[in-house]
Amino acid sequence: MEVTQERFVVRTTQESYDEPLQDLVFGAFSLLRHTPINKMGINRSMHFLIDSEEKWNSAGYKLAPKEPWEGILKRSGLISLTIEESVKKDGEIVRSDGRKGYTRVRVEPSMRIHPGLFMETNDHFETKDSISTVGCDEIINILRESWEASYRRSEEIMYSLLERLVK
Amino acid sequence: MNNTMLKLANDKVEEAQRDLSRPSRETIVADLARQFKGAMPKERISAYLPLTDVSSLVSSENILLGTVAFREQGKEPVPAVKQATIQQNQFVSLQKWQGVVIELKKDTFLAKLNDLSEKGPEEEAEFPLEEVSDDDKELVVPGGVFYWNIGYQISYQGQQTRASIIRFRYLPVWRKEELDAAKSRAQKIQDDINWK
Repeated sequence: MEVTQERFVVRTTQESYDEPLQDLVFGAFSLLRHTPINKMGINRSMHFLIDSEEKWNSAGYKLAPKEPWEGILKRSGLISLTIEESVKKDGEIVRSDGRKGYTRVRVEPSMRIHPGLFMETNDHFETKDSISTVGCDEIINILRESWEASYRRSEEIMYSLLERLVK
Repeated sequence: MNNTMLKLANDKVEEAQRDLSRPSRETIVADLARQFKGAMPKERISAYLPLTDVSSLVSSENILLGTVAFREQGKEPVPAVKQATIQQNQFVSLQKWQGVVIELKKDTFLAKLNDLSEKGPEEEAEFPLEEVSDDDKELVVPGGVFYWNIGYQISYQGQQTRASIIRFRYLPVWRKEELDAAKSRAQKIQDDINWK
């Protein structure tokens, strides 16, 4: 847990703690209802071990083809790629579920396992009017309504992408 | 902070650590060697002492050892920071359920289960109380909510062990004393307002 004046972050590496983590946030902000919160991110990350170096390189080429870089860089390789899902509606960035915010997916070579891929999903939510947000009821309700869908979708995104990259 | 100041800070920290009650590894070795002088060589004693501390906390962090004050006037204390790598265990869930306690028996409890991994019908199961941690036992009451995970515990050394983990939900509830105190304060504020 990390708490500063601007941020409250809780994270776990143990999947059995995923739901209790949600309870911790609910519990903390049920008691601290007057804390103004206008943004929230539900992030999930995984490291995947790839069968072979060849498949690992192939995954990198699929994400970032080499052709545009030929003749410009001598030896190029993918370090990090981030893709965002959002639409602009009435001048605001809106998610696929209609809420204010976006979904981002980041893919990198894994620093923990080799050959491996690291993937992270960032489900970002914002309150309807961040300037006039009072307290945290709106964000906590969003968390309550969105947690399960976000949890399932993050797995779908990562496993589907992995399947396409190493096929 | 330049290198000279950093070295000075670290030297001061090491000196401070020697004054702390917890002995350094070198002190332990020296003490043991004195005790067993002639009976056990120093290298043999060192082999029995752990080289690293193992913990299942976060993977790495900067550990603030404290601040180091300088004697020169006008110089602010500087933080002495050591980077430590701490090994971590992991748990990978194969299946997870949310359960609600229906009945508490002598050594077991009955619960309704809702599959969190895949949508399916509600199920009932009986669990031995010994599978609940001591900290959670008081939460095993009818209506108590828990999470049941089965999967693999992976130690930092890579050892995989099948595991079943039950964790009860902790949500804060307002205690009667707190509610009564809040009512008293609200009443006092109301009484202090002179309604006209």
